[in-house]
Amino acid sequence: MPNEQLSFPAVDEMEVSLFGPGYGESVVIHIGNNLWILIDSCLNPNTKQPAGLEYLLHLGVDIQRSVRLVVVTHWHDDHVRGLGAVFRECASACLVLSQALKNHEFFKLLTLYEPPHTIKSSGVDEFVEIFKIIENCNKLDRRSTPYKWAIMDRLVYQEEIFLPTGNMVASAYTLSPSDASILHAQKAFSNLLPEKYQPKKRIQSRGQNHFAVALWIEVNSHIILLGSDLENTGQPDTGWSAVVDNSYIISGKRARVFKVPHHGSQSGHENRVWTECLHDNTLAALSPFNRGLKPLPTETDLQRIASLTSNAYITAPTSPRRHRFSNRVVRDTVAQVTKSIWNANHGWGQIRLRCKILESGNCWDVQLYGSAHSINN
Amino acid sequence: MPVNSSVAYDPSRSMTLDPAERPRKIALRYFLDIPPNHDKEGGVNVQDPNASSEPSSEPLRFRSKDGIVLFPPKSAQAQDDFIAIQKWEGYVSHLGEDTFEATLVCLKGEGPDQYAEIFFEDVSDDDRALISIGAVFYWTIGYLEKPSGQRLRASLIRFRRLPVWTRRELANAEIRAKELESLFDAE
Repeated sequence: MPNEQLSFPAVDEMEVSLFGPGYGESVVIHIGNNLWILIDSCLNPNTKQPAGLEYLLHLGVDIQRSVRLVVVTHWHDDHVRGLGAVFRECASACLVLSQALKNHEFFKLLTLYEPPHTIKSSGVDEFVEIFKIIENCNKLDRRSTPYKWAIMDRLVYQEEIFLPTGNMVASAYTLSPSDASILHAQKAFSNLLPEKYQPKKRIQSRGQNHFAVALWIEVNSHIILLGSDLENTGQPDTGWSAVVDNSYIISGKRARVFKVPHHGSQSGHENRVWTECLHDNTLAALSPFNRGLKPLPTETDLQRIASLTSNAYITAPTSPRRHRFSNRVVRDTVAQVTKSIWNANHGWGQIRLRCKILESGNCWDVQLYGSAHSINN
Repeated sequence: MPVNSSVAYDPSRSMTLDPAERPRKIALRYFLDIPPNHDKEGGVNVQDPNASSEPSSEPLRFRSKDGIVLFPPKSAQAQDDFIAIQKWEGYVSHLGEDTFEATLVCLKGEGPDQYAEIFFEDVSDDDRALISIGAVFYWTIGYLEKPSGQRLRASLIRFRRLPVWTRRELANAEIRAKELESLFDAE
């Protein structure tokens, strides 16, 4: 990392950093006075270390004491890689999990798929590790409240932050999942459970994005909306419709920083979020999802986001990148056996937003590292 | 000549044989009178070890205790060698019309994780039935080296035959799920 990237934010400075390779994302927030919040986890493709944790270690943060909250927005493997290590290291942090995961069927899935069937983790092992840490904490009577379950409009963190220029309050609310989403969760997880005498396979953690935890973070007058992978379901009682229609936390307020949900996809887009919950020309940050035949965001998605704000940034390129195999035999055979092949991760970037906590208005400074770039150009 | 113990009938080894060929091979191994000079391929040579070391044009053969000459089973003959250059572990994430999509993690060779659309026709008929979402396979690219020394380029996609879920595993998961439920309900 360049030296500039490793500059510690000032005590009275807020920071929102989004990390993302082509697959996965992680958010790190400095709420002032050397206190931090970590949301989700992905691995740095170069070091294979959890991105948020690695960044804080490089900055020299006392991780054991300074991280207040670790949020797991949902269980997809692009959001949970390295979370077990993150929660283990952040010994004084409270863990926030979607209430949709507090579910007998989900616990069964974890137990069944704990022994991995592939080298690449499906994300289940991260939850297994997290639950083991919680179990041990209970036994040893440590971390009196090591976790909280996220539901709509729940205050999961509030603390008075002491600054040289005056004190202020930092709060974090969860905006989802809705009650209806929690009810749907049981059926969705039950559909993933294997039956007796079925052959074992790798579990697929696709779908179920309406169980994801969207976050509303307020630090003094600054508001940040983190959309996770929450999508629109077409139903009024789940997804973004439920948030916009029913959340009382967001009513009458507008965020200036927005982590665009679900990698900028059309299904994650709710126009009323932009018109009712965000300031004009909001700072929008997103990470791509480069798996499958339809990587996200698409060109149309990028055009839509660019039309909504002139301050939109993405952590990595969206176009597929091919690896050139140096061995001629491998190169030729791969070309014959595959219709298409590309690198799972296309880049690695950090979007870093900083502002003085006690200043108001659009005072955010944007810094881009690695393959992060603006989508407005 | 005494029966060479190293190739005597071994029930556990016989289980690895093709079921159609198993009875014949077992019978042969019982009655073979095999000299000690095995070649590196696992085949045996019945020529007199004291004879000239010049290569013989005689075909490879065995002699039973009764003196009947038996040609060796196929498996005891020289086999092809596979020289792997690149190997991935993959899992299927989507099924298309003529291809399946898979994530590939490099086990040998070079390159970062790959995402690929692989043609069904490059999978053997036996393994094609195993292609489903979540199925795990290995893809190896390399050379097939024939006993004659010839080299052929080869791509081998082999799907794993993972065991089935047992009643016991499912019952244990039920117990563990209840433990976790009580852990969180107790708070």
